[in-house]
Amino acid sequence: MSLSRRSWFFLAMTAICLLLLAPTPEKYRWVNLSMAALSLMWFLLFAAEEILARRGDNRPRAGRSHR
Amino acid sequence: MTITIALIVLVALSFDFFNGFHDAANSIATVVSTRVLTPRQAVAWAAFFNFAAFLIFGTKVADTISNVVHPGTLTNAGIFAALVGAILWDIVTWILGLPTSSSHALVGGLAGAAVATAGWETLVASEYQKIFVFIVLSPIVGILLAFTFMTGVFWLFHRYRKVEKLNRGFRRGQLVSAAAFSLGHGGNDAQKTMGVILALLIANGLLAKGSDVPLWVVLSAHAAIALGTLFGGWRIVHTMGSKITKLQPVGGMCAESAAATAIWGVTLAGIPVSTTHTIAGAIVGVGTTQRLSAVRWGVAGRVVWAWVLTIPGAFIMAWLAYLPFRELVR
Repeated sequence: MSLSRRSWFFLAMTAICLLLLAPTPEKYRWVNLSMAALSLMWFLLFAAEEILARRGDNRPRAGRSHR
Repeated sequence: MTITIALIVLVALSFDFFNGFHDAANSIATVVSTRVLTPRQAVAWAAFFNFAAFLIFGTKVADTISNVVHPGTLTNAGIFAALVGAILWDIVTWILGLPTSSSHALVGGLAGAAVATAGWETLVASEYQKIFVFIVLSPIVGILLAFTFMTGVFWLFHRYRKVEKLNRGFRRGQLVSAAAFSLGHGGNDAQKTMGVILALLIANGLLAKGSDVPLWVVLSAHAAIALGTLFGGWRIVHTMGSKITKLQPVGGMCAESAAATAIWGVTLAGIPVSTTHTIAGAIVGVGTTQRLSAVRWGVAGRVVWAWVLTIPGAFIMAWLAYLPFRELVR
């Protein structure tokens, strides 16, 4: 699946936040979790937008042949 | 108070002054680069809120800093060497125009001096662990919040056609966001110096272990950082304000609001973070809303390298500084 660099950037952010969970003191883990959730949300939104846009491009265009 | 202690307090306040001087750029780079304020107005604005921060934040960050080394381990010479190491590192990076973190320079300096004084076991691992985690987390929080704020603003206003009126609104908004960021900067960074002075007063028996920070320490630390900001650090303004990504008033407002939100949160939680890391991350986050290539990753990478080198650099400088001071400062 080829996604844009921006999508992968947000997925990488999610991964970093989750990797840092172990060394983060328990009291502050909510920071990692909320940031991981936020970046995952952006990753999913960008990925969905790109996949839907690609599907739209691949669909045959019916407009001109009917005129 | 002996002359030695007074001298070290003076050096600590000088470090605070340099912190304001070095980090002034973080507070004002975006308002200056978007021409909301002239450089002179911007530094006065930031300095005022740096000082006013003492009214809002407690001293939890100061407590964390005073506990990074086991209480009673650092001697006067050690604290002096830690400050000298951190100041030297700040000066070197200022000459090179790198927006490194004065806070991490101080943490590195304290570690270097403590290890030189009594070995590695003097360092409190849990405090350093917290600081190291937030070295990485704070720019990420800046990036994600700034990106989210910026996207939210786009969504809210994308149908609004009166661009001039909108820009005027964002310019006014930037005054508020710059003030919020400067409050956070004053709150988090001035407390680091308070932590050092607190450790010094406890080490010399002038305060009991676990004492609160005296009011004169709070006021003098905030005054020193505000004065430092007033004198400003123009070389770094350029890197922060325009080299990482080009900013519009809306971007400046979102970057500062994101950084302010992050810094206020960690300051209230007592975590010493780098205001530099956070605002640099927020500027990257704003650039990312255009496209990844809008961020000049070469410059951002250079900044990251400066961050990585700060703690070891200040550690070595403080460790070396301790050797001659061991005999001189008692």
